[in-house]
Amino acid sequence: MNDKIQKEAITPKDTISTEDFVALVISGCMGETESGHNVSFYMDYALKKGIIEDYDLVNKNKPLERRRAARIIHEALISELAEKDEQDWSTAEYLLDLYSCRTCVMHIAQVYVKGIMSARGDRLFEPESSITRAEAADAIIKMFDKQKRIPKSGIRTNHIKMLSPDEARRLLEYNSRAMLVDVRSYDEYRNGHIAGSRSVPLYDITVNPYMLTDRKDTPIILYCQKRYKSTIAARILINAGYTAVYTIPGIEEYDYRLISVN
Amino acid sequence: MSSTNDLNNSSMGRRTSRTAPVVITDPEYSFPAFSNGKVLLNKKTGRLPAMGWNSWNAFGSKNNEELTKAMADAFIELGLDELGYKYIVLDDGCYRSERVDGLLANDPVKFPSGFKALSDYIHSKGLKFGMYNDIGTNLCAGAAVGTCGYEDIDARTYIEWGVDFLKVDNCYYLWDNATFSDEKNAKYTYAPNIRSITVKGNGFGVTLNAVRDGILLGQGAIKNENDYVSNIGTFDGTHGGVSPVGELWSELQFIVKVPAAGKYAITVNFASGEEVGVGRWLQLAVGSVENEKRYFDNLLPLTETTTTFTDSEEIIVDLNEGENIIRLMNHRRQENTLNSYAALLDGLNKAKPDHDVVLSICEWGKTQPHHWGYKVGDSWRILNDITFSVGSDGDPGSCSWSSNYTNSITSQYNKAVIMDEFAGLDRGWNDPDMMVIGMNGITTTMSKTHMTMWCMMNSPLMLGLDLRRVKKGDELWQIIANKELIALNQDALGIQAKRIYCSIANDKPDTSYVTNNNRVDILAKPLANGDIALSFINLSDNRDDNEYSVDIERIVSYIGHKMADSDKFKNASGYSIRNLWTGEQTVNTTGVFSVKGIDAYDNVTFRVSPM
Repeated sequence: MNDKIQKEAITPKDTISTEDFVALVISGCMGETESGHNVSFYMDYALKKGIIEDYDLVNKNKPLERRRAARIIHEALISELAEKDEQDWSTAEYLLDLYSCRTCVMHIAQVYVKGIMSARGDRLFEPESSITRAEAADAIIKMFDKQKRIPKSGIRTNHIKMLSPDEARRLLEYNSRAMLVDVRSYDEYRNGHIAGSRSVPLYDITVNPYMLTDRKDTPIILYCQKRYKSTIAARILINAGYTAVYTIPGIEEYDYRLISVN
Repeated sequence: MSSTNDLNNSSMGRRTSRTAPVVITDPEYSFPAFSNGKVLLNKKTGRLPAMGWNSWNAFGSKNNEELTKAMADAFIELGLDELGYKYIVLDDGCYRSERVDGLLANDPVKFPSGFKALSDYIHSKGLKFGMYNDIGTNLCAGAAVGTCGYEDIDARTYIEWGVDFLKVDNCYYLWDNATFSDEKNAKYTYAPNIRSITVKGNGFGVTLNAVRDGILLGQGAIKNENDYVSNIGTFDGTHGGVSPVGELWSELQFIVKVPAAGKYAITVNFASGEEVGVGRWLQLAVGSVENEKRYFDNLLPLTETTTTFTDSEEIIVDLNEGENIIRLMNHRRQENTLNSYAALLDGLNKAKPDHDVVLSICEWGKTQPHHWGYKVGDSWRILNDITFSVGSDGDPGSCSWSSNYTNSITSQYNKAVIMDEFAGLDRGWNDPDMMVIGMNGITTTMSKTHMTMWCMMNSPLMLGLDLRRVKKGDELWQIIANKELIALNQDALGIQAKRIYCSIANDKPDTSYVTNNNRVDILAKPLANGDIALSFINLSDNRDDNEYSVDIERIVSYIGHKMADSDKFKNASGYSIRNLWTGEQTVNTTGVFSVKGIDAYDNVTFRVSPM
């Protein structure tokens, strides 16, 4: 089978059809060193075992999408290789588009966390784009050889990052989604706050930490009086899954130019 | 300017187009009508929450004919039919992946005998048959058999198959950036960035700047430093960060004072885009929402960038002498989706005028359906799915108590519990998704509390487990078959419980959106016979040894106006209290109802009867 994969990898950016991919997966599961049967044999087998669906059969000659590749691999791991799911797949939330595909969240999460398929570019899985032959070959090698996998479990390193006021300003200029949040009471905010910040009291964040934004990678820069409340808020946001949480010195600790609300 | 197609309103029923959003000519199908309380197309009202079984959580796309029949058999063996469970619903993954001669067809491997035969089998057991489809072009799992443009035809097919319940999803939807939709569809759901409007006519002319002169209505729109307003549209409610209570859309309003009544030309200075926050579809109306006339409701051209401003063509409007309200907005996210579901209901009505099909709206709360779903549907999902780890034959799948997204019992509960004012017999029900009792990760205690929550909240009770794993009388059975809990869900008064106490939101427990689970909630639900139900719920991972109490005054102040007889309740000499999980019966003469010591994830639920 490795020969076959090597051959497949000659034109790495090409796409691969569903039936060719299924043939590689199933022949591998059967322990064949090379695909010894017609492609239709593997397709029939996969259909019977629930590894593929009618949709895959109807579209067997079309380029395979990455989410379908994830499903086929995941289903084959369970039914053919008796491999169990990773119970903790939270690190898959690193993929910003994980939940965009509600019927394939678990397939993508499992192949990602197990280190069989990886993100493309900037934290995206791109479930709807076609898998390349190179990606397919790589995924199939890792599917059958656990040594080659790079598991993504337990690598989540979300800690509070402390920024200087200058670093924070640059982040806000550079990233239009970044937000500056004053976590003191609204009265304190009214009396004097850093320009461009919004008021979200710590209590509100405690009650509903998801209120700031749906996107967990949004840079959130927190401040208060003495970096006490902002540190608590940051801890809450990190526990809620936010991955870019920062604090800056409190307004008693640095000479910010403050503005007030009439 | 892009053309729009009229809703094809044939004798068979409406049909949406696949080339452009519907042209809305009847104001009953547009945003201002959402608050009038009127249903459309004679939607049947007065239904209680649906009860049954849905295949998704149990078997995902791997459900099949044999398994479905086994579930119908189990309904009878377990006596679930006698408890009110009646719908057996096939979820995604059961159709042939493409239409056959323009019609829906069964997956030949999983459902070899076809859906009519399965429907007959289920009906022969005295049960009801449900199916699934989608308002987009494809189903979520991929099959290219969505109802978009086929609503009338598919409705007839469902009637022919004897379908009693239809769950309709929102994937691949053409007029919103829904799951698997083109992301650029955001152009339909947000207005362009707007910098100013110019009003001219009758020798008068004025230019009003959006930031200086404009008034933002609702929430979500932003006045940008560079003189323009962005983010005019409707919040996406799929993910759960934003409270469902309050205005979930935004508008930009101007007040224009003109010297004389007559025709005026408005040009809008805009910059458009095809992304979340900056779209191309603009609605312009004169008058307040209660009394508006729309003069523009269409796409504007795409500008070079989202900050390359240009003038629109003139929009001719009628203004009165003196002050006029001019509103720029885009409510299409809600309106398009409503119109798509309406087309299905119309198709069912035309196919069988006296049909009794339950329409279960499943657009994941994306377009805030608690405001419009009641017009055409019987329930509306409020969030993305409760689990993404669905089971299969031999694998129960898993769910969890809490999560940072929608996929847990408490994620769903936390939103639904403050949505009681949107539910009712004359409207329909908030749907926090199918139940996860019996899945891995859910303990017996969690299952009991989950059952309590769904029953108290009048949520549809759709079981999601392989019923062959249940034996009559066993632990799971005792939870799903708790008659006294089911009686709360199916109570004839049809009122969703209200949260009257929340240990970390004391001010407004009924409307505060609380997603922190370190807390105790108390829910109160009026019942038809004059009783009430009270639930004390500990959502946290730790036992809580505090004492929690509510008195008659608090109860009546929150739900008195909805109670069958609040005076009788208030003035009772005492109360007979029945614990609905233990069966323990006590008497209370103080009018203060207390619970001390609740285990992690546990609940105490009473039926309180005035004596």
